[in-house]
Amino acid sequence: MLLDLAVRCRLGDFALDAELACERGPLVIIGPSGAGKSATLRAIAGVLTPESGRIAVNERVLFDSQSGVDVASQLRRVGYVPQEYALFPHLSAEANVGFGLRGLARDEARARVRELLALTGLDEQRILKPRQLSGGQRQRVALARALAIRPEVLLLDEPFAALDAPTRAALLEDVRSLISKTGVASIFVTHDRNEALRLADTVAVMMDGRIRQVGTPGDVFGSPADEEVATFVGVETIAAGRVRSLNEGVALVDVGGQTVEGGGDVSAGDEVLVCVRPEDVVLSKVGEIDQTSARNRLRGRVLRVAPAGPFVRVEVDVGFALVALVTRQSVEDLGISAGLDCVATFKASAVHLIRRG
Amino acid sequence: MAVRVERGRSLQVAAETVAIVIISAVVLLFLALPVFAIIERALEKTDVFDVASSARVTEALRLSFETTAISLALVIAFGTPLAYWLARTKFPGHEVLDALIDLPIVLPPAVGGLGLLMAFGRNGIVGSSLHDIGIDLAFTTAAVVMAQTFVASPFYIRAAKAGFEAIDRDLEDVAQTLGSSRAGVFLRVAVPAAMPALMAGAVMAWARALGEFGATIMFAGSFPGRTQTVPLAVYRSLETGVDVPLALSAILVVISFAVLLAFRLLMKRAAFTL
Repeated sequence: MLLDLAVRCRLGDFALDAELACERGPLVIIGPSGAGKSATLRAIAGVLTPESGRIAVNERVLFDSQSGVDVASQLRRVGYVPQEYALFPHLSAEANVGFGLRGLARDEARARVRELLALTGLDEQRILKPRQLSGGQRQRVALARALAIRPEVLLLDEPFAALDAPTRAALLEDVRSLISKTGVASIFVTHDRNEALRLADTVAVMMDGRIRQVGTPGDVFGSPADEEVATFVGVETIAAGRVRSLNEGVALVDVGGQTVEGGGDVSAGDEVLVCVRPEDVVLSKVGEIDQTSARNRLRGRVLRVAPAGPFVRVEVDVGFALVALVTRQSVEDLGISAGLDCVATFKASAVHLIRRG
Repeated sequence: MAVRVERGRSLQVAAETVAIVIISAVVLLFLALPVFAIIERALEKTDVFDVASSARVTEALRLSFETTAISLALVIAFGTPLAYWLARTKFPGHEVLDALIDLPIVLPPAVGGLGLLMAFGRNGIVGSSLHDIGIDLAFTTAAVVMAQTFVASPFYIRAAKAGFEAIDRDLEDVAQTLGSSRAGVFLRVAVPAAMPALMAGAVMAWARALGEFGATIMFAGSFPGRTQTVPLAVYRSLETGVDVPLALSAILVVISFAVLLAFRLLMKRAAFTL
């Protein structure tokens, strides 16, 4: 068990009340800003003391208000990388990395520092001060500094937020391979869905100080537990409907005058929310022969077309508002514009049903 | 039309520039003229260098530098942990403590000196007991140091506190997770990270101690070689003419200016390398 946590704590107006059990790392705690993600990480690091609760990392109890256990931060063996990295401004990259190695013999410490600088590719920057380093180099120094003490767990708070987009993409891969190379257990905090998808074996969604859902990335992104989680993980179509019948595990749902097939833990007569991720929706011309096995084919009229990064977001009124994410090429090929009639297609497996109430 | 508006603008800009230059010149002149006057008159007078090397002057200078060095060491040694504690701990009534620490800045130095006398003088609250065991502080070199420490410490503590408050708390948290004790965090992270502020505070405190007059003359008196620092010597020697005070003042002006300038250049370099 990587993490077994239950912490309660008041921070001004904010109440943290998080419960989270995670078997397999890397764990990514994801949620909007102000959800209490950083506070949770700080509680694990031991620099924030919860009012009550229990924290165990790799089966080792670090905090337990009932039995009065509160392992001091300096004895927890956590590799903490806070937001913006908090490098010691007066120390060189080398000295930053070696900061936690006071207990080691001098030769041993020096060897360890060299090893980590090599591992993170910082040999040439070793005598530079933090302000002489680029954002990516700073992140690597912080990572090397945290890894130097051979931590039981690495705690990274928004490690990529301070970087520009191209650097971020490259470093994300570096960090991933570094973590698998060192085999260190790690817990990330981020508000970025893509980071969660690429880094996590387990995703925990946090909102308003509480953990709302824990699962594999597939679970959380494909089957969000409630409407807010669905919105946060990027489900754009959320429509209210009612389950008409169940047929071999597939539910037929009445929604906005249409029938949609989908999966989920529901029974006939349930009021449900129909969730569809925009990238799962395919648009085609009216009258075109369907070549897919998709169970849901809904005819509708384009309401809005708006660019969304490299893609185009198309909102179609099919009796309810259905959002599709399509390529620029298909927008051109299909001649999509507001007012056009088209057909939206998506698989039953792309439909996630959330029971209401 | 457009040209006219533009010309109007540029005229306004010119007028503003002239106004700023005139105001700045007046202020700078007011500040610089007395300083210049001291140097100019000192050099014009009879052998300034002879006077400067007279026993009376060198003795005052030596005393001033020795006492201010000790005062500064005391202020730093005790003020740094205090400032750190004040910056990190918020407790009810800390405003009262802050105000108390700042008090010597506002009080006339003579009042401070009187206070020291009432506390540590022969009949003072603590002084009477000290007198009983054979320790008399008033009118000794130790009293000079105490007077300087009293008036100068707020300058250092204020700057140090602000410096500690400005440190990113994540630095200290990380240091903790890397195995540092609280003392380790203070010595290895907080003090180095706040160093520019500590240095600035130390320079201001030293400058204040060097110029200290009122509290010293009340609590330590003005005995040549024992308690007569440069400011006191300037005042006392006025009775016998203007040569000695001018020479002393000129030396003080030059040294003070050199220290402040050196400090600024040093900080500029520190900011660059930090």
